[in-house]
Amino acid sequence: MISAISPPRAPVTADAGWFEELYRSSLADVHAYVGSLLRDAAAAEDITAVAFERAYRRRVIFNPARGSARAWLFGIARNAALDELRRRRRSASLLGEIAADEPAVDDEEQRMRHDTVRAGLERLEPAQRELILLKFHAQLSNAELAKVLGCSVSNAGTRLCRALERLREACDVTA
Amino acid sequence: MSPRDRRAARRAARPSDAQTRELDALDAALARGNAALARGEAPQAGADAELARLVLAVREDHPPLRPAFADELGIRVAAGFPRRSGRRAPDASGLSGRAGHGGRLARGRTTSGPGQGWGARRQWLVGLGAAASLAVGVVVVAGVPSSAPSSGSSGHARSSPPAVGSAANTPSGALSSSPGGPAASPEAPAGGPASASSSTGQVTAPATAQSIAPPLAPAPTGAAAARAVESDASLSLLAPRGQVQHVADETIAATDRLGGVVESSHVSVDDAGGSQATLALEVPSSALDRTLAAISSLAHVSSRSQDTQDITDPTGAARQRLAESRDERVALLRQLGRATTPNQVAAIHGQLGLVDGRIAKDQASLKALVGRAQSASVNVTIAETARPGTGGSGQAGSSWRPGRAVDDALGVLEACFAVLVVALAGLVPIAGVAGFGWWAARLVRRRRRQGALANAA
Repeated sequence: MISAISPPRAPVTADAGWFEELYRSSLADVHAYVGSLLRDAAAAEDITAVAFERAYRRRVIFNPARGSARAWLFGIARNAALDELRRRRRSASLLGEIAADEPAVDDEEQRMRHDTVRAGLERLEPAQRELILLKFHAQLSNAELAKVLGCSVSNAGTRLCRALERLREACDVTA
Repeated sequence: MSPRDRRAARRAARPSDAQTRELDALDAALARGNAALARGEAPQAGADAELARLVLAVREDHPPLRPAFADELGIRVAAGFPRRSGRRAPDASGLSGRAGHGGRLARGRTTSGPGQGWGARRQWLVGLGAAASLAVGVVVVAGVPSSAPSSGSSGHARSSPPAVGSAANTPSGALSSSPGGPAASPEAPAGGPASASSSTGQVTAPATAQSIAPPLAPAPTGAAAARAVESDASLSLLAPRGQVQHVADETIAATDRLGGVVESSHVSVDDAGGSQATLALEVPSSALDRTLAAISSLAHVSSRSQDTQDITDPTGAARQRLAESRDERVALLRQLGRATTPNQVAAIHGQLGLVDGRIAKDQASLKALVGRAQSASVNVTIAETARPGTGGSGQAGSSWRPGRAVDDALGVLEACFAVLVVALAGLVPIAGVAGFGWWAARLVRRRRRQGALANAA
């Protein structure tokens, strides 16, 4: 499980040590989450950089009592990614531009599994897909998910279960 | 929705036991997936192996993280995201480092970065919101003084009619008719028809009269420029011991100098410290403010009040009555010219006598009204300051005493509280508008993001 980053509880100083630790532990996951959401490698890097920069600028107002630093960071990344989606008005499929940036997969079985999962994700509703990606990449607790999504904890759990169920069904259908 | 339906909806939104078990299994699969990813091995077979494979497949399905990008971003993090010179904060502008870390700019895309358009719009929106809030605050603050009772140095401002503002607008506070309008001079003799018709004119304030807006009078308005206003004021002075007579003399001299007259004066001198003087002054309205200023400079002013009363309507009515009487007189004179019999002439002469009497009465009434507008009465009371330690409040009692210090402190606190209340009256609506704008903007932004997610499907 991802280790929790503990920023100073006292007034946050200019010391960015905890932020660097957060960066090191979250960079890959933030990039993966944003990349999965946007399906564009260049945009994923851009938004990842924007997310970390916004988080760095706002680190002084981060309140550990309101949630973990990781959940806070993924909330920022999510907003940045959705802003990017809105800006680009990409009504076309999110999954359409990945061809050039697909991860290199040598194993045929693994590649087929990826194709199946990707097709299954494509069958999900956007909100469900985003929830799955957020949960799988950020690995937040349900309470943290609720915080990021702006809903209740029970609602987040229910939605996540339904999304997972739909994903399994979609993958079964695809397979 | 009935309470029962709401409870049912809450139960439906709550994860069931099976869902809770699945969520726990998912968390466990995510943890195992992390370990498997770290070790580079596939999940083992088991009850949750399928879930673990699903987790791994989803987590592995993303664009690869380029080491060069990670290195450069790491350098920027370590450097604290230094701002680029000549550019706005990257937070608002979007991607400050895209060219460096191989982002879309490096790949040939030159469009504005994410968040840049929104950042610019947000700045505009913030500016507009601030301007709107400021406008609301100004309106509110500007409305407070106009609705609050005026107060002056005396601390007891008498009620003033709405047209009191004309006292300041009519420089002398005297009668002034609208240009071109019929206005009869009260001094004009009620002579024959010719003199009656030529007696119209304007009674205007002296052009050279300089008006200082009375402290108690509201700001003048253009519409109230032709108002007749009666003014009176009262001043209470505290003169140093033995100086009451001197201050009274100086008051009289100042009144004379400014064209006023002393209607009555009473000065009583008491060596024991009870000297007092009372003066009733009549000064031109145009010189009222200067007179008050001159008298106020003679001694410490313990209280001052000023009252104005709009007498435009009575003055206009008197002027109207006078004009009608004159018209009637002209008509009678014409009838007199056409009279052929001695009886007719005698009857008309009798009516003329009655009309002349009425004209004289109307002239006197109008003259009195104009006189009230042209002059102002000032009552001045001069008392001797109390001796130190007697509890009086005067210049001589300036020595420090705990009671006075407490009074002063309370006075300061009272003034501070008043300022605070006025400031809050302006700030609270501003904060309310700003808060509502912030809440609305947040709501809109959230919905737009959700909409973007739906559109991207």
